[in-house]
Amino acid sequence: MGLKEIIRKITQKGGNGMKKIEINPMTRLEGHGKVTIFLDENGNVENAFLQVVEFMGYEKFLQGMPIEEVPRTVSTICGV
Amino acid sequence: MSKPKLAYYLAGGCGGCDIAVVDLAEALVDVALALDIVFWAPTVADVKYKDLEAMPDGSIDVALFSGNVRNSEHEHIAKVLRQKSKVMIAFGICASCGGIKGLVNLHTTDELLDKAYINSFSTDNPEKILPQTSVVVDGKYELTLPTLMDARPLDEVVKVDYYVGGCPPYHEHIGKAFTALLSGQLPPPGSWITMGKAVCEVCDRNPVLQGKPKKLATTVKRTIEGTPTEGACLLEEGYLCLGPVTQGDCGAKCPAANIPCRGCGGPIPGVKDFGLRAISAIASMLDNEELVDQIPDPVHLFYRYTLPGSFLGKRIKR
Repeated sequence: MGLKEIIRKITQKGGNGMKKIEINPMTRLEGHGKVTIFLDENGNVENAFLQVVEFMGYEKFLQGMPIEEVPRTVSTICGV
Repeated sequence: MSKPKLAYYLAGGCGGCDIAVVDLAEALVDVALALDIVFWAPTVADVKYKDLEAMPDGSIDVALFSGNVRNSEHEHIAKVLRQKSKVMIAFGICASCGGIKGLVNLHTTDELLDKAYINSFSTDNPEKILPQTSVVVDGKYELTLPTLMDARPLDEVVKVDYYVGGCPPYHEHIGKAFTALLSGQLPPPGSWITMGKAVCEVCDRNPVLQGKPKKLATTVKRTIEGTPTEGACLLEEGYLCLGPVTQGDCGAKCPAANIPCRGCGGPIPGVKDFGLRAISAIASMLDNEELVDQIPDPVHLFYRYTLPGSFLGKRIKR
């Protein structure tokens, strides 16, 4: 498949007639990320956004846990 | 014969289960050669959600799902994977019972976001901006995020064929599970893939295995209090170890390192609610009732890995 065809395949209409490429999920890493690229009428990149789509909440749910239990618990924030 | 097709998805997890698969070391080469990996997101393969959605229904032989179901994206991919796969395995304790990240169910989403984004010591967010499911930047760039939900184990979203416990699953156990899978020697659908023994049954500290009587605990200790006697049962010494009710596919690695079991292996066969059974087991091993009041922080102890899948499930939100 040629590059033009690939771009045609992955682009879609964004807001205001703009074209939008969404890379979802970002791969070869631990964690969930998404990249959204907006193209202008000429097909050039106008803006691009990286979003981290995951939220955990350790800050809150660890409260009340005995401190000696915390290291073996927070090791699951990232297991890689 | 074509190779069995494998899919792997990391949902609300940490990637520790992926790393545990890598811990198969040399055996991983055999596993990788025996399987055709068609989807492994986000950690390994460059296959996107759209590619998965385009696969024919039932075309994947085995899907491993790690992590709990915590947002609309996890839920969507869980449903898609179920549709595309013949066998679906909840891989690791998060997918099976909810996991540590399932402790979010102790709080409301507002409380969690408030602490993480506004009221934590190191956060500078005077405008109190919180993540939104949909936002338009500069009036023209539309961006979306998945909707947060209470954490759920996989079987509350789709039908699960097999469960594998552990945080993460012990690599030798994963090796056995893959062997069972590839040779078709699996237990009846709906069961855990386990040798069926408790941590205590494989623990060198267990006095019963040494032909000695089991004594009741006369104190309750935190792990920072003193050092356990070498070779003695942690529970007898007052360190609350959940070995009696936890699957021992790990080979009792934590007690061997002076660390009491916290139940990551999941419940021993026949137990639906791990926390309830753990409370009952610990209570029966204490010398007197007064000791119950000395148990520090019971919810984080008994339900650390299994809150979303328990009968309690979550805090009642008023």
